[in-house]
Amino acid sequence: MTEPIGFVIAMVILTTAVVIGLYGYWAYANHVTLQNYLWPIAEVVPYNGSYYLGVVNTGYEPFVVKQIYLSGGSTISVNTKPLSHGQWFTETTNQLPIAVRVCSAVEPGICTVVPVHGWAMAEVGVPPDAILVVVETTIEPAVTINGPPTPIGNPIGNSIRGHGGGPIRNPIGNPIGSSINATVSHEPSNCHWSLTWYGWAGNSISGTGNLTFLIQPVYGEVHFIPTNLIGPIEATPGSVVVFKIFCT
Amino acid sequence: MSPKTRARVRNSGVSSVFTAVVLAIAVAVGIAAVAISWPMIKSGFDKNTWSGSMGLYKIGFTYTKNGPYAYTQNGVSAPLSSSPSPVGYCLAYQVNATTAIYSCPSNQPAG
Repeated sequence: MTEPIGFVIAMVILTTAVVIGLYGYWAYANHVTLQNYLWPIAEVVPYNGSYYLGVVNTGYEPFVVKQIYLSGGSTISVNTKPLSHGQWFTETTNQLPIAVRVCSAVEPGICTVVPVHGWAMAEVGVPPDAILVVVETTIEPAVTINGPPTPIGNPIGNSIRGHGGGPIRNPIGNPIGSSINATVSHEPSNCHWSLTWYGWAGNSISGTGNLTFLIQPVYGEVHFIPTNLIGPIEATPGSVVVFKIFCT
Repeated sequence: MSPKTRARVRNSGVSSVFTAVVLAIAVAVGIAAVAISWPMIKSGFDKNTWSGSMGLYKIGFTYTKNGPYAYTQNGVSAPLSSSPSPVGYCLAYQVNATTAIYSCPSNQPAG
């Protein structure tokens, strides 16, 4: 009679221990699983003498930002609303933020600390180098521009030829940009020349006679590829460059 | 059959049942452990995949008729503004005519 009772007691103890053990493991696994699905990304850029911090939820498990760790050793406590996928939290700090602590919006006890990514600088592609405007097709060696001209019609991307009647003037109310005044001089007869510039608004112009034109760069340098011309290969806004026709 | 022999036979039966139950529990625990572990293991793989993709997440810049644009790998693009703004999972803004400052998941940690 004693053996079956002992057996039952042993089974109850064993089963209880197994259930408790499994429950503990299940709780642990749930904790780790949820923590593994917290996918915050934190970025910082310097801005106006301080630091602009952004935290975005790149995952699908909502979380709240709890703390910001600063390089000086201090922390800032915050309590944001739950951030869903793609939502940002931003904050400006006086010291460099180096890490943030976020906690699950579902289980507030499950948190993770992530580093803040630093910043870098980049060139913003190739700027729209130039808009070419023919302002004069006479044989005058140089043309005085009375105010920076602007292209007629689409002001960006299209080169506009003048009609030989004088400079194309900047219409009232149009924005005036920096300009380059380029002159092709010394006309030899029957000498074909061309000038190519590149960039987003790159284009080219060619001719056989004297030509004075204006290149109106918006940003940056203008790069030239001359054919049968002697002149600079680049110029900056506001400068005056001269090309001479060179035919052998 | 003597009482001693009967007791031996009964003990032997109880021991067999005990072994069978313990084995059954062990099998059940094994199955339960795998069932519980699998989501955790999968979440670990998912996190590694995510970390890898974030380590390669970059931003690019271009110029359009409407001004400078930033674009990221997941197809997000936005005009660059003069103050920090999100572009995909990056922060970026234009400092001057030809320079932008950005922070992306692939950047090194600050500090």
